[in-house]
Amino acid sequence: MGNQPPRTHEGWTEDPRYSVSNREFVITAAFFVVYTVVTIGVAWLLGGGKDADEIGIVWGFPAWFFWSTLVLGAAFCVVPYFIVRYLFTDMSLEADPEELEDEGAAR
Amino acid sequence: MRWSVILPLAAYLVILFGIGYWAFGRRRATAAGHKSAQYYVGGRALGWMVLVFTILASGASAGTFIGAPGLVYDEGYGWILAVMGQAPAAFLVLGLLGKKFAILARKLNAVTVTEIFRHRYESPVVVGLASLGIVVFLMVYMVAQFTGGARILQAVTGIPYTALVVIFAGVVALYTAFGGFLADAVSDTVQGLIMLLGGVVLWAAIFASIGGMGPVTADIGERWPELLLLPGAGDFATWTIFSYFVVFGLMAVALPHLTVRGMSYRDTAAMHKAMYMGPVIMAIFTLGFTTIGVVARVHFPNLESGDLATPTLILEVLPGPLAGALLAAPLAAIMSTVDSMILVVSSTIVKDLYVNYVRPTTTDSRASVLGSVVSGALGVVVLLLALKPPAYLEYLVIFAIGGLGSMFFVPLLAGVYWKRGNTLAAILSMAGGLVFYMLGTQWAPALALGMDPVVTSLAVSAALYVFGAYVGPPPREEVLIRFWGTYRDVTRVLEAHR
Repeated sequence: MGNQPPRTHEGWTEDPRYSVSNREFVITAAFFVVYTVVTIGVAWLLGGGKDADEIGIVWGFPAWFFWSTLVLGAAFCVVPYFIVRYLFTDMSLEADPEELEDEGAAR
Repeated sequence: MRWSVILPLAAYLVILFGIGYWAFGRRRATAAGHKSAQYYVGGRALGWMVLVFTILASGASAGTFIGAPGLVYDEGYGWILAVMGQAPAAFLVLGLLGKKFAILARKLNAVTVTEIFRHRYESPVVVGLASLGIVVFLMVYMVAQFTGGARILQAVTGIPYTALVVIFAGVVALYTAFGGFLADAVSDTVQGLIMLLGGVVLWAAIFASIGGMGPVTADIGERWPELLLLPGAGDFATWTIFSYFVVFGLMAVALPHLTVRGMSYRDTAAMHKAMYMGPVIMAIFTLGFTTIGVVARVHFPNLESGDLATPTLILEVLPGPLAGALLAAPLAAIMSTVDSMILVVSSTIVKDLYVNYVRPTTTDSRASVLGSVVSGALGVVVLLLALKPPAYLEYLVIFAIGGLGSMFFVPLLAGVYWKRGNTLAAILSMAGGLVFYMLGTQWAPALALGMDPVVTSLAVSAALYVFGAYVGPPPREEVLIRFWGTYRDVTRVLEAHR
């Protein structure tokens, strides 16, 4: 954040925090797409259209269900931690972030 | 009646009253001018834990705890995969609305989604459509939650239906009216913890009595092999499952009682932690309770309805008092969804309709008091409707959640992130999304292309939005400043109106 100068228009300036938010929107949407495609894709590759005697059992569950819903489901619960930790930016959410910084500096 | 089951439920209600009373105290201590923001969005001060549970518990209704296990009971493992689409719901709500939504709400001092629409689209038609959609659909949905929950509890505990509705709807009405958002959010946290502990304890008990999933799955494989398959008994296609991921996961962003939670957190630290804790907790809820459907199928193959799977298993596997405590989980799910909906409907009536159109001079403190009165009245209306549900209601329930999502999703996100979006785009996409959804659900299923109708409705809504954005005039510069400008510029244009 703050690497690029904020976009200005005639008579007003864009809040530089919004460009951070735009980027995080795209990352979140991308996560949903990947989660959906990978989970459903793996379930179908392993189990789609198979008969009962072709379905393997892992730990008491149908194999397709075990790998897609349980294992990948668990894996995709961990991914958000790394997304947020490395790709998301901490910043003030106050209407006027400068006011808060000034107060902090005065203390 | 089973008293050992009823007593823990009663203790739970007493805790909810306590929370309502505490939040009411906090509200009275709030300074004038901030009272309605305190009542409707908890003073924008939620930490991560309350934030995460209030999103999840408000989103996870009777569907997760009763409906989904019921579908799994009837149609097998495919439904568990489909419902897992809701695991990242909190991540999606917070990440897609994003920090921009939280900042905008502060700059514009907005406490409802409709207020955001009013500032963005400047049109009574948009405000009217949004308000009407929220009031009608959420009201019928609340009634359906209570009637569904009460019928099931009546079946398993023997408590009369009327008593159940009066007690539970009455309690929700009281603590929501007095305690507002903070009471909702904190009780959601208690309710969420009950659901979480409930899931874990129930599973421990199930494993102790049946010894793992192996025998269950083997038994199912012999008696109903189609439950293990994909497409399976549910006749799923890949696209059907995809559409459920959209419905249960993505759509959470656009449900007004969840959207409003995107304005309620304290800072980015709370938001970030809620974003990565949310999916873990939701996955535990979802897997914990949906797999119950499979176990129940083997142990109680002759249930009258799949919806009885969760409560029956709870009562049969666990000793009395523990069963009572666990039956609180589906109840908590219902109550935590309804309380957040009451507040959203109440804020729509008070802030978007009354203060905006009827009496703009209403002071903030008065709006907060009115909020209490309206919330209490709504609670009573829901209670009365639930006691004797009118016939047309079941018809409206079909459209409620999907209809709201199809209406709000596109204009909400496009309004926040796309400068080109304008009034015409919003009107077309809201009306088009809703109409297409209703057609696809009820009259012309072919329009859904074999998926849940939400997906095609969203596509139509998005196409209409883009069309409207390029055909209609672009938004006024003042609107762009409000939604993209710095605090200084926003204050300047807002003050020019006073």
